[in-house]
Amino acid sequence: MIKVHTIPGGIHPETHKSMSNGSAAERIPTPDRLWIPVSAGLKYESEPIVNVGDSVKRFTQLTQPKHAFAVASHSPISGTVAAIEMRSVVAMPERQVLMIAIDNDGNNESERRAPMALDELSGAQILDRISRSGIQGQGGAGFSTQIKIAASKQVTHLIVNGVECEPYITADDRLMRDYSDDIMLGIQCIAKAMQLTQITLGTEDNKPQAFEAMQNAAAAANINMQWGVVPTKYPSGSEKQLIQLLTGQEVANGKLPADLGILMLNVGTLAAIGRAVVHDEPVTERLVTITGEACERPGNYWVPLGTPIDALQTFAKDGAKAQWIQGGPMMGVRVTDTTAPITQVTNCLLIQPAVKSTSEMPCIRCSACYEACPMQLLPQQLLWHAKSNNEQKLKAHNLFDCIECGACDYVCPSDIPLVQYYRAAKDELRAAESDRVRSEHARNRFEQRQARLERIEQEKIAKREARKKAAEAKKAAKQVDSDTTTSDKPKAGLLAAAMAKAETSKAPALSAEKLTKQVSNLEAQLIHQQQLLEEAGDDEKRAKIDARIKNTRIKIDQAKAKLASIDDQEQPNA
Amino acid sequence: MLSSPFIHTKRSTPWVMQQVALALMPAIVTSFYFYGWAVLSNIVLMIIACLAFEAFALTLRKRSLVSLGDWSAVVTALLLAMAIPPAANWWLIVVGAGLAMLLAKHLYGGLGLNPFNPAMVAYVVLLISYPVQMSQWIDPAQSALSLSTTLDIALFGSPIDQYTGATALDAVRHNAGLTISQLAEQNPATAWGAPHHFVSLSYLLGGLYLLARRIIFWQLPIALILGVLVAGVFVYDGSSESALSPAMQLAVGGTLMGAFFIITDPVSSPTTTNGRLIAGAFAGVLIVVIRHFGNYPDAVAFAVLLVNLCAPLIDYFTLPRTYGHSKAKRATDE
Repeated sequence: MIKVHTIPGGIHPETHKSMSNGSAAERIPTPDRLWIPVSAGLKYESEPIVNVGDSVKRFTQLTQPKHAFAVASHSPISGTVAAIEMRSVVAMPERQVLMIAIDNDGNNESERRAPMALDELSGAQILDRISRSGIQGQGGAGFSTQIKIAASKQVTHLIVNGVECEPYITADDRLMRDYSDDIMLGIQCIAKAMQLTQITLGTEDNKPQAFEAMQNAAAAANINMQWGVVPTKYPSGSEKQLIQLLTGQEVANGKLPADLGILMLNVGTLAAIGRAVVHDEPVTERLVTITGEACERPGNYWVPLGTPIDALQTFAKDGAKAQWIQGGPMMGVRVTDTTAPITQVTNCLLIQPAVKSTSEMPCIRCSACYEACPMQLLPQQLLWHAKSNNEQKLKAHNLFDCIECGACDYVCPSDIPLVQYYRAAKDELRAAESDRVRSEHARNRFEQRQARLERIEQEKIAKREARKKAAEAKKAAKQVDSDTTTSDKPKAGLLAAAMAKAETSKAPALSAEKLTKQVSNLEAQLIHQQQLLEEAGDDEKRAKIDARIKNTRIKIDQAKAKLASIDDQEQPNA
Repeated sequence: MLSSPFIHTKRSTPWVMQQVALALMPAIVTSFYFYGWAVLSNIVLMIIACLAFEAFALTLRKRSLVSLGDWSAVVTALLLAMAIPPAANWWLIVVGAGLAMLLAKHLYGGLGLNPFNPAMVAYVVLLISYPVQMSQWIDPAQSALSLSTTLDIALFGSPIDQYTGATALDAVRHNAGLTISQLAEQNPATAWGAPHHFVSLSYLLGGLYLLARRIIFWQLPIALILGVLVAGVFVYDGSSESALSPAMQLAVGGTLMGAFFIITDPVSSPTTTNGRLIAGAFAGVLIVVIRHFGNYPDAVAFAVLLVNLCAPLIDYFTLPRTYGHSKAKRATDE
């Protein structure tokens, strides 16, 4: 047992854990149709590599990541690809994402796997198997595990997060009790691949059985671990808070745990790693706590990824007007469309009786929120400045350090939806920031254009002057010609004409330089537009950007042609 | 509920206000013991007047009358009723309630937006406007007032038979050549065991309840008490020029009421931990300074209002150090 440090703030809501952690996990009947989001991480894009009508087996890869932070998806069942279309997800109620429908053929056929003992696998092979298996953080945030590991090169200390501080959720508790061997495998994989010297389990003191199971499993697997039991308090399981609890250190502002030499993985993620590496099984299901006051048979269930929440409606109590929440009551998301599927971040489905929203009362600055804030922010002041949209004050009060744990909101006697205010304020500041960047670009562009126009004007004037001089010289020459017949006088006239001509020839030289610049500018623009095209969401935007790219290409061609012709002209002069 | 968190504590702002009212009960009971119905007439009239003005202001501002039920007007009424002399005339109470609710509260936008403690604003304006009425304290050494006498005085303006002599703070202010111990023999109000000491103790009791309930935090009252004690040492030598002893400073003139019920008003006081310490200590020192050097002996109200004035500034310079930051920022930082 290691000495556990303290964290400021935190709250002690009723845990309601005993509702669902009484018995081992069960399996639910596999539904007839699963819906797998193409981009599992939602924010980062993958593309489908199957077509409608293809037949797939369990573990068949369905998608290929396009973005570095994206992860691949694999089919949880055998069957056929029935459709690929836009559907709703829980996490982003405001928009739809592309999903692949798999119709279950009931044969339960799997693709052949290549299980290997851990001893036979090299570190590189382990990491390769992790990256192929589409593992996302199973604690609820859903960040790509492969990327998290890749960003942790200098890490020596693995913290195993078995805290599970959100009320109601017991998936990690049950996983530690019943699948500790898988977790140990995962720990061994990471320890071997990353050459770790220190492994610590962090868990709350309300899970004694899970703790014992983990200790036994570690002894059986001969893993030398440290044990940290933290007092039950929300949000002890948050990455930053658990690091503070177990090491007394804080992750510096703008840095990662890796900068402290720490990699933290959730027990669920480690179990998934264990299975992926040793059994060569990508993630196709997860343990979901289905619970709540309006839940019929609260417990933990293995649910295939892609199972529509509709398929779980039997869990809702009859006649209860229930509200479904994905995740815990503190940080979960309300389910607005029950056709949305279970994903790797669905650690819990909370079925609660629908409650009316309470009306917000004025803030009396009672400071309960400040006392509850684990990040040591001043929620009451943030609220004040968020309401008045005071950007400078919001930044000075460290708005962006808010982890949206909801502790302030939970304790507020005036029922102020503080987290909502902070989310909105963050969105607004981000929008203002991107506006600023954009207007900065626009200003630069404008200034460059002004400079260019000025240059062109100067060049025109120069040309005009040159022509004038040439004309005068010619005139002078003619005059000399007509005036005298001596042999040295025409020479002077010719000289002047030649000088004038030389000066005019400078103009095309300048414009060649200009054209080269223009071509390189246009090429840079083209690259930027292509990037935009990749990022663009809807088809309308794409079409617009496409048109712009074509335009740019034409301009480049034109400029190049002009440049070539100038070069040709200049050759003889030189 | 539309977004997380989906669970909340049962604590509500009306509940917080009710707890403050409850914590005032020991002081009300003790005062009742000494002054009889005179205290209750103050309280009842003040609550009625404050609620009426609150309702009036809400109607004027086209706000829902539901917020009448938030108990904030009741708490202000209780504090003001306890601060002014018992069996005060009804018009004094009505003027006070109007000042508290209209001038100090709704003019600034109502609950949560008032920069000054409404009860103290009303108290100070009454004190300056009606110095005679505001210094007429019934002599607690006489038997407590009956209900009918109280009503006669409060509603119909009958004169009070027996006023108390100079209060402890007045006695010290107008002390002509007596040492503090001689003064205590001459005027029992400046000696230990006077009735107002028991009232003070009752405020302490109520304050401890609020602390235990975590409705107020220790920094403000403790810093205020320490401020009074420390500053009190500098002005006390027991001579004829001396102030009351530091300990006695705590027991008189509503110091403890100020420490646990007035300066702890969260709306108008600093909100950061260090800010509370600074504000509390500042208020404590100001109380002693105003008592000893100022024109009014009723220093708590003035001190609190001055500290209220500084609250935003104190808050701006005492931000906590956020997790992961090497040092605390200032609210004025870019």
